[in-house]
Amino acid sequence: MTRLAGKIRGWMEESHSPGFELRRHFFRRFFDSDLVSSAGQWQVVAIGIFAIVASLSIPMVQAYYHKYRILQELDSDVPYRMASVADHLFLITLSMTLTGLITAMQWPALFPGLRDYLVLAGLPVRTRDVFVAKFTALVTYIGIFIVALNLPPSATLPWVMNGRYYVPGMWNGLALFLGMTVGALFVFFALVALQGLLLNVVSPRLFPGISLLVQCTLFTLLICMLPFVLSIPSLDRYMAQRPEWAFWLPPFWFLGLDRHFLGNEQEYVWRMAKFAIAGVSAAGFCAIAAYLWSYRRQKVRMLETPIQTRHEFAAVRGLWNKWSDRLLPHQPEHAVFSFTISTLSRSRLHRMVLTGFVAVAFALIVESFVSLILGGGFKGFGVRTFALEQAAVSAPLAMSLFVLAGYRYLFRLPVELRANWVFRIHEGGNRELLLRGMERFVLCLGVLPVALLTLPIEIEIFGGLLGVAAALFAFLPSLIMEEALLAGFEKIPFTSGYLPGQRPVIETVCIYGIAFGAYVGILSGLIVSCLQEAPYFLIVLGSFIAIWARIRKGRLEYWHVGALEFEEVADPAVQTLAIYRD
Amino acid sequence: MLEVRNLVKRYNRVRVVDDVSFVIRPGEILGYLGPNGAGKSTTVKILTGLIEPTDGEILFDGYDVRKDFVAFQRRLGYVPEEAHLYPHLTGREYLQLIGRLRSLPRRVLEPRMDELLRLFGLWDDRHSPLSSYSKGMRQKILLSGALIHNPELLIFDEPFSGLDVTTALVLRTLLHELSAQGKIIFYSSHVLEVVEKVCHRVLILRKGKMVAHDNVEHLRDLMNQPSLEGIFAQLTEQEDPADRVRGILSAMQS
Repeated sequence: MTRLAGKIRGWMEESHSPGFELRRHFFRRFFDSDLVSSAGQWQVVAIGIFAIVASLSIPMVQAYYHKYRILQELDSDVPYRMASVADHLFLITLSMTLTGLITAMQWPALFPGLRDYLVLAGLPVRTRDVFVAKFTALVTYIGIFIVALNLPPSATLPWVMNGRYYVPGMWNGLALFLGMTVGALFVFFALVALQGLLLNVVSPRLFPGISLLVQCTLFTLLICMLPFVLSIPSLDRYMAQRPEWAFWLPPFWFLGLDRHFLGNEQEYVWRMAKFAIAGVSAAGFCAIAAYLWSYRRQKVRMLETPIQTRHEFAAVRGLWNKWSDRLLPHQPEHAVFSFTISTLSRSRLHRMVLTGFVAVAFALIVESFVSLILGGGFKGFGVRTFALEQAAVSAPLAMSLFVLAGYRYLFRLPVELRANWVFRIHEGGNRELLLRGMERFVLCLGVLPVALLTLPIEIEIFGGLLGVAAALFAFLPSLIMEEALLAGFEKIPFTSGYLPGQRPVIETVCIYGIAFGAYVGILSGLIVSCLQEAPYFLIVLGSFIAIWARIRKGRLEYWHVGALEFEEVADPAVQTLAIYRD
Repeated sequence: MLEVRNLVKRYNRVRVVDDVSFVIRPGEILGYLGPNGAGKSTTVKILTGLIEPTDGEILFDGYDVRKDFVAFQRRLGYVPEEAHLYPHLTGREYLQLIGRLRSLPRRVLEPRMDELLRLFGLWDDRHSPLSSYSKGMRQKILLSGALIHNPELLIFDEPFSGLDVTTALVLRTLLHELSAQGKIIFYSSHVLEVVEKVCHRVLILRKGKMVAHDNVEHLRDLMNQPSLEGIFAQLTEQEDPADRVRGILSAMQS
């Protein structure tokens, strides 16, 4: 075994054909991300994610096992069959959504990029080889992901369903695996084709902006879909219906394929299966066609299109100068404020991460309203129930939690770490002003917009005056949260090297889960209760203001005495002296 | 006057800068020379406040700068060796950032910034991101950033890197003019021809230690060498380039 491993390692270390080397290069690049601290760090993150999935799988398998035990004790097999269909639909939709998410995350790497052409320039590889290698590496990467995602549930579900209503057969797990895999491939190919279309249709100058917009939109939609996907198993009672609108929803096509493999000969099911086969074939064909279309053309477009100059609107600049002088009276404050805006608006990675945080918040807000509707707690906006009011107050709280936590996380992701000398040599005497620029940014582009954007929801549900009071109540905890998050933060945004991916993923998930439960769950209930009683209203309002003032005072004192934290990349001249090997 | 006394920087047990002393008077340009790893960049980082010295003193106009390093930093302009810049900022935004960090009021900053962009030939590209700038353009932006607040002390680390011939001539003349105006200029470089033409005095480092500190003419006489290149090679004990070339050719053909 050791000899075989050694042989494989030896073979891998050998130089092979240019095509193989290109594939290997592209395949490895899919695991590189600025969200992990160093090459190889992805393994730590992957193990963390695996640990979460594995630990969630155990109670899920147990729950499913008990569910099917109970269903098999019933006199009729119909509930058992319906639950089985709902679970298959759930797993197929989940697989499609997760594949969509991973494809959206890899969006900039779906086609060869400018960097690939520049790096490979001068090397004896043809553009065609680059395209073929990129496509095959991409398909291999996504193929491994899909198989790893679909195999465990496909193998486990037939086992937990075993019992008196279970019909044994080799297709039981295989049909589900094929349904999930073909569905996932459909999503993957469709997204590749979409980007290929954009790449060839949109002007090269506009492409980066539009591509980022599409990526962020996809990411947000897919994250928002997750709560719906997770509620599919509870829709088992509707699984006997055969609505025509289901033909518009691709997960049903692949459910039809799954049912067809399992021996369902109904015309409706067969039509769905045909849609599935046609859909995945068309998506695959379009993806390959997009690659063929882009080959040659894309390289020329990328390398020969001049970089877009930014337009400056004098009127906007004048207006901004006027207002910014009042908001940011000191120039160093202004420097950090403008630098943060410029970086966030132009860095793809930072925008994507912020989109992720906002999307999670949005998904949680949507989920709270949807579960209210599905649970029968919603009887129209005119009928104010405690649950509806709590959901309304939860919206700004959830959004502020994730936006503020998102900013704090983002500010630690550096942009060109070595360029931070600009701030470091100007830090002296300006420390508080520099940090205040960051604070103003968080206030103006985090706390205030969330409060203003959610104000209409509060007014709609609580009415005019009470709605404003509810918004104020949600605004004050946001201010406290801002103070708490900035209290120990002594960095200028994007200038210090944080090592993301080093904290175990399970720890991160737990922290966010607890924060969400405490900040949104408990606070929203408290706020809604206080809105009913004037004395409580005043006590809680006073408490919020007192807490905010106390934390703010502490933070300002801390900022006054502390030093800004920067990180320096080791000096190459120093490295040559081998001091790190000392 | 900038006076550096017995400057030492140690990393673990290695002395990267070892007992370096020099004085630069107003109107003087000091050429700071040495092979790679000699300690030039470390000295520059100490002077700009990026790192702390292990030992030694830096006096500016007789005052120890460590007592009020901020006041010292306000009076210096710095061009780093490598153009580490924020690639997503435009040229104008970068100068705006520098000016704001130096607390220049807008009425001073904006016209000065626009004037420098015009004079360095960057006006047409002022709204383009720095990532699209050529090496020379980046160098011009760094020079503009270093001059924008009219500093008394200028620290240049390879300022000619990537500049075209015309701009290099402009910069050379500018250096003379700045020194004529009484600016104190610390000039670190590898380009010996430029140092020879521009600097009043040179300081040569080898493995962190000063091996020469005098004006070029005096060093030529002393070392009996016709050029600064010869003096440098002799003092820093450079190996015969022909030997190195033979080694490279041999490695290529092995």
